[in-house]
Amino acid sequence: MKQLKQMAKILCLALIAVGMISLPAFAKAYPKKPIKLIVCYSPGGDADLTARVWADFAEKELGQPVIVVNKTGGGGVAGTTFAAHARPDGYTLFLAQAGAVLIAPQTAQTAYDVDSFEFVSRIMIGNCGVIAHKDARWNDLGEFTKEAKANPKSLLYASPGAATWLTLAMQHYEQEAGVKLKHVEHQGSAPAVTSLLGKHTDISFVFPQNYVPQVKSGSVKLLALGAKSEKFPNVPTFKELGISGEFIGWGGIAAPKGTPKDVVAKIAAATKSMVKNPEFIKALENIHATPAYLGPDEWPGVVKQQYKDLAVTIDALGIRAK
Amino acid sequence: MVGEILSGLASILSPGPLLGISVGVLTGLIFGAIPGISGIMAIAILLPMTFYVSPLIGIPMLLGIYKAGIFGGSISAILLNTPGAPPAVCTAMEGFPLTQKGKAGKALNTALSASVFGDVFSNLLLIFVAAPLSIITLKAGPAERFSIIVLALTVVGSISGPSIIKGIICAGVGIWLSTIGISETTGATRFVFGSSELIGGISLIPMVIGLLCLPEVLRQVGSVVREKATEKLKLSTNKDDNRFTWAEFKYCLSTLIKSSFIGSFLGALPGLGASPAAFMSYSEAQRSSKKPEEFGKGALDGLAAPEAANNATTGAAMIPMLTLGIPGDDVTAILMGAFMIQGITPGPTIFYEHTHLIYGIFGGLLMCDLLLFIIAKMGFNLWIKLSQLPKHLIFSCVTVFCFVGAYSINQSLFDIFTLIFFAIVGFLMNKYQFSAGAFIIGFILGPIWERAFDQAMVISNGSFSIFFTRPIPVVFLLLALVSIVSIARTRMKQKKDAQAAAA
Repeated sequence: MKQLKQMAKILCLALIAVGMISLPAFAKAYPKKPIKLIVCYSPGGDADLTARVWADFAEKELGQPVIVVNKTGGGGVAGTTFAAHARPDGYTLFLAQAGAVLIAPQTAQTAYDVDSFEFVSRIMIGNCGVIAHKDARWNDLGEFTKEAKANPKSLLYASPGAATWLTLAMQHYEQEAGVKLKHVEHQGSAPAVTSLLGKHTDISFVFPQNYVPQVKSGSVKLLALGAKSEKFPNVPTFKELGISGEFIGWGGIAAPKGTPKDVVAKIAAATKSMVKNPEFIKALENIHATPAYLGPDEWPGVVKQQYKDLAVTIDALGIRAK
Repeated sequence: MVGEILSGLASILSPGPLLGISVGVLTGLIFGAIPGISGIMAIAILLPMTFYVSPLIGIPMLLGIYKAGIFGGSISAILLNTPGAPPAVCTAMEGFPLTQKGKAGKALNTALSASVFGDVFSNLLLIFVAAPLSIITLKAGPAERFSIIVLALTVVGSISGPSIIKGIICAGVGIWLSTIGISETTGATRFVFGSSELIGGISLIPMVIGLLCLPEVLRQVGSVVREKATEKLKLSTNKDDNRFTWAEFKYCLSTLIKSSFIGSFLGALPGLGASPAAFMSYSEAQRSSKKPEEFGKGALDGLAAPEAANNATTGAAMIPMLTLGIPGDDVTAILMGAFMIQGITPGPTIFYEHTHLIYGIFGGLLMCDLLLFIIAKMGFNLWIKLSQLPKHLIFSCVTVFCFVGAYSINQSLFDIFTLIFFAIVGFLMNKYQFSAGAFIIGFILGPIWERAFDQAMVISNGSFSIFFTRPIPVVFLLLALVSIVSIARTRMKQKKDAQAAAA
């Protein structure tokens, strides 16, 4: 019976979709045809899931299907390049995250820059956290920092990749706290967590998607968080430990530079009403993300400030592309 | 708890889940069997559909595609000599000669039986010993992975054809080309020669399709120009040539078990995937075969080994995902997404939080095997009939699918150029007996090897002793040595036999 209901639900959704395409009232204003949402990482990851949830709800808000297209390769550079060079008509959108948009243009010779995009609206933030094995001798990042200071270059940090935002944030922590860790690079967060669980490395810094299940099952402990969390009230934030900087990941909708103002406004309005929808909040919670809207007026400033902050870290590390 | 488990297992037997699995298996078979198109594309396309149905329908459906897609690749490898995915390279090496002898039915049935055998084997491991097996995932640190890859690379000796020097060159070039693009370890860009397209590296799928499928098309075009335009696929009328007999099953049984072990072991290691499993078990089958001289000419154990191994990775690949919450490869990453969208987070807690669902999915895994066996078998006559169509029809379609497949993976025009470039390279490699398989194994293993080496060096402060002072790496390095010695001995013996035959 439940299955029948679900099938009926799909049928209804399909009918509504077909109906909306054929409704003449929608024929005048944007969007007139389906919208492509480019994701520069592979299906199933946090960027992809965020995009799919947004696409699902945007279809209801905008009245046109939003199709998620995964263009992977080169740590996100391939898909980002494509999105930056797409026609700026609002029918090609891009799920932006810090790594490909803010870091890659500084550490590799890419055919785009942070200015190649209109930053339409931030959708969500991820409260990233420092984790260690459950048997580790530190209970918070303060204790870890103390030991790391006493023994420079002896503790191992499981990095999800050298030029990722997560690793640069950790580099920033090291500069701020005056410690030096040994970086063991992995291909993404999942293998980094695996090596931590296998006690091959000491700490890692990952998105909630990667730490929540592990913390819940008790196999890792949280040493610090980017922001105070109701779920983990006893875990200190970086700020509380005296370390300044940005330790929260984000994802949002961007469009190629030159996309018309009214189109940008329409997408932003759709996102704004979305983040108030309890179903949308629930869907993001399922993928361990927090809805956090920023519109086209305030978000670009935030992004550009982070770009400048990252530039400082990148120069201090000497990994800027010539 | 026991009641939950039993009702979970039984819950798969309702119409919804059974329909889901059948749709999945059929889709996987079709996508896998078409050269150039792969099962993972079907999974990515059908992922959004699972958001709207119960996880008990959606997830077994994706699993059906996954398992059937891996087997489906061997259909075109056997009938047309166009392996659409790297694991099917060995299948084509043994299966296509059988087809040429008129034994297409036997080859397909052997491959199917072996695939289902390996699949059931690893599913049972997943169901009964998942938690202990997750230790493999955790114990495999950088040094262990490095030494396992050294062992895996010795397969180049078995698959490189007549000249081992050429095989080593191919594998070396494969490793070199895999370094193109952004290095994960340093973030530096390597060998891009100022091209912004190359920053992303060379895409595996277009390269593989170019190397493996299109050279066969070019060869067919060449043979049409010369003469045999109307030649059709022969079929033996002898009943025994069209099935996998009991005697043959018994002959292959030890190979099947060994290959299923290799597949399950490598499947539980995140990041390695089905290709090394298929190549390693093929190499092991050749080493231990009673008739090693048959290899390359249609050896049944040589056909069964990679098929059992690549399907055996599928069940084991779910072990790290379900027990640790870590996806081991691209397919399990998508599956993990499918779980999470439904509000279920895979990980150690899933077994008591969602007991009913998990055992439903376990039941679904076994149902996938059963339906794969039945549905695939029903389709064999159709595939054989299709492959008897005029060659210009078949290979025009193959060409179109290759281009569509290469483009659709990343929707990138550069991938089409990659496809064309490697089609020419593959054609020349065939002609001068360089091994495309060795090249691909180098390309796939290269980055994993490099990463493991870099990680080990950071941990050991640059000392190589890390590879020789721990027990597991030492065992694998010794196994690699054994493998090298035995391959060298087999090769010397073959050379001597050939000289004796010539004299």
